[in-house]
Amino acid sequence: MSEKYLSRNFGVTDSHKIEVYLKGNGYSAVRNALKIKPENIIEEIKKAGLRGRGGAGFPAGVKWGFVPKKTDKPKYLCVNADEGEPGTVKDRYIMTHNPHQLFEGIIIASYAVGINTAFIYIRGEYENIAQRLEEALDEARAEGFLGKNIQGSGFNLDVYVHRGAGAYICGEETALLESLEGKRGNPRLKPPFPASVGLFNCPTVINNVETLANVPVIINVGADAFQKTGQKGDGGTRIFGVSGMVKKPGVYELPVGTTLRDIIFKHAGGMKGSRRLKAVIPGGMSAPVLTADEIDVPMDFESLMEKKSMLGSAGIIVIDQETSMVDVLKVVTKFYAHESCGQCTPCRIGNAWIYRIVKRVAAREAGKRDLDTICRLANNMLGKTLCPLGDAAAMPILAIMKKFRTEIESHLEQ
Amino acid sequence: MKITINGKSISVEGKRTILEVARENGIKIPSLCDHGKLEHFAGCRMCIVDITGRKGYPPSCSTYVEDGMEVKTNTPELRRMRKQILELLLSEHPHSCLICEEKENCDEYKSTIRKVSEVTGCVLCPNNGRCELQKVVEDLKIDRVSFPSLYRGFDILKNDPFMDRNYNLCILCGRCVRMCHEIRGASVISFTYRGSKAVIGTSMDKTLLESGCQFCGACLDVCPTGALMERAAKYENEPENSERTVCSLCSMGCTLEVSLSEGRIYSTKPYEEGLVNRGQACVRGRFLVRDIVHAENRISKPMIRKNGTLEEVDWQEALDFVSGNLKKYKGDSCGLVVPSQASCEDHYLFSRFGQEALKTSNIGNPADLNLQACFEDYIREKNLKFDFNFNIKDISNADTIFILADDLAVTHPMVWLEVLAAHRKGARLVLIGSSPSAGERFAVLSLKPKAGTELPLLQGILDVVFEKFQKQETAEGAQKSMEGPGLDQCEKITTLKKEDCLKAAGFFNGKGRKIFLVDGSIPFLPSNREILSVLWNLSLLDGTQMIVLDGFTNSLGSLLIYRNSGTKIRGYAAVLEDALEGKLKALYLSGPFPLIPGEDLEFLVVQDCYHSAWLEKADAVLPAVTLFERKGVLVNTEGRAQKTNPSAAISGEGKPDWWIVSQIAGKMGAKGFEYKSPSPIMEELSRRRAVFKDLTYKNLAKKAAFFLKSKTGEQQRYDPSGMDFSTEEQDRDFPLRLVFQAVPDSCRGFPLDRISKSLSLIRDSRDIRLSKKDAGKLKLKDGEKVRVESPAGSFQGSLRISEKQPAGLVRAYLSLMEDFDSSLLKTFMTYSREKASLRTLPIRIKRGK
Repeated sequence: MSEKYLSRNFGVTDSHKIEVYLKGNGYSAVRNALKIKPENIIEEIKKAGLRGRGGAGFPAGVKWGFVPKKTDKPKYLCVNADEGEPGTVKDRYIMTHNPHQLFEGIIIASYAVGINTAFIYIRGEYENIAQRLEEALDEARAEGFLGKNIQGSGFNLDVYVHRGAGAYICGEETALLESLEGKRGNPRLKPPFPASVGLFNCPTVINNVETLANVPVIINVGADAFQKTGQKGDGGTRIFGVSGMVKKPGVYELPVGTTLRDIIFKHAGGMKGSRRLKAVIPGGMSAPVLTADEIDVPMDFESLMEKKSMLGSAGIIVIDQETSMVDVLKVVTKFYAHESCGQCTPCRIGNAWIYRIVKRVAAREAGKRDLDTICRLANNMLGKTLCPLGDAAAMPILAIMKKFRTEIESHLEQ
Repeated sequence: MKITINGKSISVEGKRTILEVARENGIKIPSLCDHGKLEHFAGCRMCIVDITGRKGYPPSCSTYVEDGMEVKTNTPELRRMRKQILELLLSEHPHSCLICEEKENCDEYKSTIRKVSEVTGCVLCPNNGRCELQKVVEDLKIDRVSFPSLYRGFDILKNDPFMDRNYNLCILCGRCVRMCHEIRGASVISFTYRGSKAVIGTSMDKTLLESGCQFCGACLDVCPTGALMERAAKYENEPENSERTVCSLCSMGCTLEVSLSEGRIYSTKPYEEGLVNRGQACVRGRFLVRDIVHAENRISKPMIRKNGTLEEVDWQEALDFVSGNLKKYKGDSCGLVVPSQASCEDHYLFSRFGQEALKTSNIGNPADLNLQACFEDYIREKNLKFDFNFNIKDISNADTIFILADDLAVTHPMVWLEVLAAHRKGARLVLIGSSPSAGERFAVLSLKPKAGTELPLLQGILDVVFEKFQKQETAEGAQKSMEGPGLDQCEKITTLKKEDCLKAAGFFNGKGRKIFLVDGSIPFLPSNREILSVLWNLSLLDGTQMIVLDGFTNSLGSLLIYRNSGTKIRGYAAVLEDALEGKLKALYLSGPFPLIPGEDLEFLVVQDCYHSAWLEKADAVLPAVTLFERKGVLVNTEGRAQKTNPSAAISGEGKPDWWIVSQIAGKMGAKGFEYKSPSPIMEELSRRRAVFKDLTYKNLAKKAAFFLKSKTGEQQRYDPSGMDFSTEEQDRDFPLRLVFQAVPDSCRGFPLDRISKSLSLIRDSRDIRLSKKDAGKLKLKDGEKVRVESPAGSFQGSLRISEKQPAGLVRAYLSLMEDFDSSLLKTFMTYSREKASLRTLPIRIKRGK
């Protein structure tokens, strides 16, 4: 049985309440961490190979290390809980069932970097979870884990919950900052990076919910054990959210590097009924699609990169033979056309045209040349937009067009 | 450092973008969203380049050069990608004309058909020929667009004054949004909606007017397409030529570029290299010049009264008539009112005309009522050392700025832009005053004492600061003799918390560059003079630079001319008083003056630009021309002298003021009025008044910037003065307090909202502003006609309910115009005759006329 770092409490009655959490030795990581030197915590996190769980997979310890130690400005931690990537529900589970583990991560990260104010930017649709977080924060404050002089360590921290207003782009870290500042959620130009100029122009760390929830685990089990659970330089477990035509869709916490085949067929119970596997989107909708023969890939950042796809947010969308790739394409393109912020020309107008053409393809009103136009538009987005949304839109579209071109062409001919 | 662009090695210094470096070296990179004055946006993606070793295609506008960088700007791949991106833009922009095969023929034989509402091609677009998108299409040689044309179908927005917005032509470069937010600090427009539905708009799609737009036109000037258009110029022919001149509509002195079409003003735009404005303007300079020069109510011909009616005559007859009659009234029974908005030459000749031809000391200049006049009196009397001059650019380098002004964005727009620039660099703004101000959302501290209690507040702050400095023993020689109200009493009088006063005092710590910005529109209960005295002491303690902003065009210049003339000049308030008391037999009106009841006047001359009620009483009317139609030297609020140039053909038979008065003076037998042009007048002035030393046309042309040498006293000492802090008893019959403000938009005192209906939508000089709370109590509605009654007199106007207005305080514009109650004005002025400053008045408001 593999380690359950994050999902151990899932399903336990009142697991979100602090008394239940404390019974399971909760907040011991915070108590211990507050006795360690901050720079040693950062070293430990680096050693554990904890990579960002939001999508880009940037090593968390390294990110923390970028924040200037000496500054006369306040530093901030922003928790990215704007879980908007289609196919991804992992943060929702963590925040619903295990909010205090997230808080532990927030406290330790803040302590390590020297932060006294943290914000949880939660997607607007997670209204009830935001409510639950607020209640849990009150509990943590009452128990002295937040506020002034936490556990007698002299360290102060307060955490605020801020709800988004329903824009996918606000999951992009700089757009998140803009939105948190009360502005329109458009991404910022980089550099400067948030570590030096972030929220309200102050040094800022932005981490995903799952990333932070792993931090107390590393303090508890040690960097080595954590590292060993996963792959080299990519330690720990991932919460894989499996959706689509499988027998048991749901969230599965498994070590980094578990093969996609095992996740679908061993853990999620295989395909539903007599359905046969056609394709898998392995890491949320932005990840390029894999065909049925490509699923022996271990689910870690490097291996998926070799397959020209990505682990992303580890949201696995399983597509069966009866699902038309044209419909998949339509869903994908509609999403990005709707969610582009509108700043960069190739993404704003390009995505709109792609979706218009795909609708014609779906209605069999298009020709093969239109398929080339879709690819041309998508290619023209790659590497030519301010934020990763342009690439995130172009890559899955290009992968579907490449791997399922015959199916789409035959759809046109029917 | 060294970089290579397209194989060419270039050495670069400092933090520069690739685009900047490329352009400086003659390497063309197309770009649409970038603008030198604005933050990078990197949205249009036309300026993408290829950098060796870097992923993707970064935009050159926002990528800074690094040592050893190898950049390619013009590979076939880049050209192909740029074309594709441009095609995307064109797919949403009416582009048929851009790629039409008949384009050249059309350009040659058809002129643009601008009188259409929906623009579906370049030939129908008012921006044809000036469009940046057209130029990029030309540069990239686009001859086809692979997408069908997609007309977005936005409504064309025409509900705002001055400008139309057609977002069907918008390419979302965001320049207007950045300009409005970054430079103008207004943030009226923003991106709304997202993705392909993104469009520039206001909050909740309200009109610009409702969103608080000041109509500076800066958005319009940076728009690369025809999406934003000036309505008045939209349907005109292309301008033929342009002239550069200095705007004479307020005390800033912005340089404008006036484009002309058949001698008429087509449009005015701020000049990029303008010393004061650097490419910025306000509603006056940007939209009103054309209207005021070509106004319908301009006086165009000389007229004299014959058998009870005014008849048009030629200049000779008019001049003979006026000079012949004026000879009868020499001495103080003759009053001369000058327009403060005239050139230095005019004022010099007005002063000589009054003294040498009319032989009167009753010369009134509206600038006599300004704060600067008050302060000039103060420092002159106390022999204090003070320099009126400042450089507007210094404001942006301040660390802390204290603002005691009403709304600098309206009254002194360029000063406000510098304040904003300072704020962007991290300066702290502290606002002091009971009036609402545009600066509030930028301020770290906004002190709003009870209406009219600014002086006790400032004195309270001064006391705290004084004590602090005395403890530090830095204030050598200063003696504790400033008897203030004490913080407890200060709290009681001002209704502000003690902590706020302490916080404000905390800013005076002897560190950093600090500036006081004071203008005359703040409602001071005791006289302005005492406020100025407190500020003087504060600034001396802490080394804060004190900047006293003046009200009108050239009011500083005119003040210095009359006040240094060697003989006594009684001033505006005295002329008004004499007129009301019937002491004046003849009146020479060249400036604004309230209508005097009664028939005491025997002879009245009106020399002005616009028709007013005075014309019904006038015996002679002489048409003057505006400063946009002639040469003249103006001194702006900084003390900077600049020359205006004739930018429009003279309307009718109007003449410059200096010419008219020199002709009349000559005919009256006065010597030395034989001028043919303004330049010798200026030379004479520069010899006669030390302040104007060396200020000649020749020197103005030679020097980039010319500042007056305002001569002041010697002493730099504290000037504690005993003050009376007793608050006036609330009058039951007159429960509200009225504050007068100068009309911010006027030409020779004539409120511009009476010429431009569009301006009157933004602010009307007849507006009476009342708080929501008071309006509710009085059951009055917005826009209602009301009468303001005071023990001294009454006047009427229309009510504007303002949420920002503090309760108990009413604000109205003091227009000095003919329809203003002159006796009310007199009472108001005699409140502090010697100081000639404005105060609050107990009033009540009643519905109806």
